[in-house]
Amino acid sequence: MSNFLQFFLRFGGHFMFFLLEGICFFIIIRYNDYQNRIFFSSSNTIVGYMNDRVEGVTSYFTLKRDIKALKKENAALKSQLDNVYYSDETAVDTVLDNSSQPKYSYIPADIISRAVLGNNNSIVIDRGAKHGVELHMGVVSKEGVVGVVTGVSQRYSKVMTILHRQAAISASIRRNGYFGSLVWKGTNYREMTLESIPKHVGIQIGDTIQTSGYSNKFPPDLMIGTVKSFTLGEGSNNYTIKVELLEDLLNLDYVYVVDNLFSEELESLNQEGNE
Amino acid sequence: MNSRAIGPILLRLVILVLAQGLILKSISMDLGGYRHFHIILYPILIITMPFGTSRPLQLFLAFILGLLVDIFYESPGIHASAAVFTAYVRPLVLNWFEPREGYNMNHVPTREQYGLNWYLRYAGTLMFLHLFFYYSVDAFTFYYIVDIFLRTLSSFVISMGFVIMVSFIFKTKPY
Repeated sequence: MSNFLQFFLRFGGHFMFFLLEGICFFIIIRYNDYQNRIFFSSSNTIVGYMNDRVEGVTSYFTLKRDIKALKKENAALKSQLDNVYYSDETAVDTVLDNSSQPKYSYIPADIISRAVLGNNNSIVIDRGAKHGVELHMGVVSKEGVVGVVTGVSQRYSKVMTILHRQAAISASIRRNGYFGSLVWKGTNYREMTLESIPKHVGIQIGDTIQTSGYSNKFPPDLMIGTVKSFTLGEGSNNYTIKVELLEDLLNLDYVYVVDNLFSEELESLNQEGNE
Repeated sequence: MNSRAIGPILLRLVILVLAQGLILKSISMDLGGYRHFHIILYPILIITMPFGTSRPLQLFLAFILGLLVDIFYESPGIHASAAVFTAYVRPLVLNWFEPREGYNMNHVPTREQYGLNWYLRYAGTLMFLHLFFYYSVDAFTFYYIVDIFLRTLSSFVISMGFVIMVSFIFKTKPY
């Protein structure tokens, strides 16, 4: 206590001075408009300057995060450019069956890649499961058969064309209705071979070959090509008919995927028969 | 300093506040407004405080004096801060002008005690510091430093006249 008193006696003057001046300046700033304005505008200037300097240093700490955020934003902007868009529009149309019940539905698609130079030609179209494309659906063009869907992803599908060693579609002669199997021998892109036509059937050059309708993949009576030549092999009961395709499968831009609306029913019936 | 001495100081304080706030203020106003110059007399209380007065008490009395003057001038705290400052620097100024024989702790620093020459220098220095501090706080920025100096000088000249006048009219007795 006596220490405190001594301290106060020694430094009391200074202490008192700062205390009283503190009170005075508090009163001045609190109750005088003019001094108040000057005080707060100056203190704002000083505090603002200090904040600026501190901000200048601390902004480096968040630089990494900021760059990351900017990159993200950049990516978001880039992904809005036209060239990255994938058009989701589908105009689905349906043909009517005899009884006015829709049996086939068409899904238009663009060809985005094709490999038609080998023996096993396939194309990729820009429609997939999202748009209703399913495995084993038929694909046709405006004049002819293109192939069968062999792979489906969300937005794309792979189509095995009829110009494929393993492809065989059921085709018939329009004039008399006899049908056989249309295969590709792997030489000419415009030429296919119709097999299994019995030798008693009358054939003329130029006969129209169309889809038979016995396959549930393609609608019936769809033009495929015309008879180019036919031969009867030695000791054979069947003609070998060369068919010229109407469509140049190398130059297609867009195709239609055929959706057989009754295919499930047909398949379950077939399975029933097998059991 | 003993407790008897506080009475006359308080009495002088009241008289000085009233003289400053009622008379000198209106004279200053009549002469052209106290933006340009002031007749400031109240620091004479601080100037003529007895040597023996304790420093905290001097400061406190100066504070009260300034606040009371502020009430008349409607400038809360400004005169008070100047008065506290003046009381704070008084010992330094006294040291500065200390005569060869030193101060008698029972004396009062007045004209009669140490002569007009000493009193002019001592009171003049304190008055100048007081006015300079006052106008600085009044402007609250040294942006107007030239203005502050001009007002300090004009007020100093006219106020010193009053300080000297008072020192001849009123006699302060030693305690």
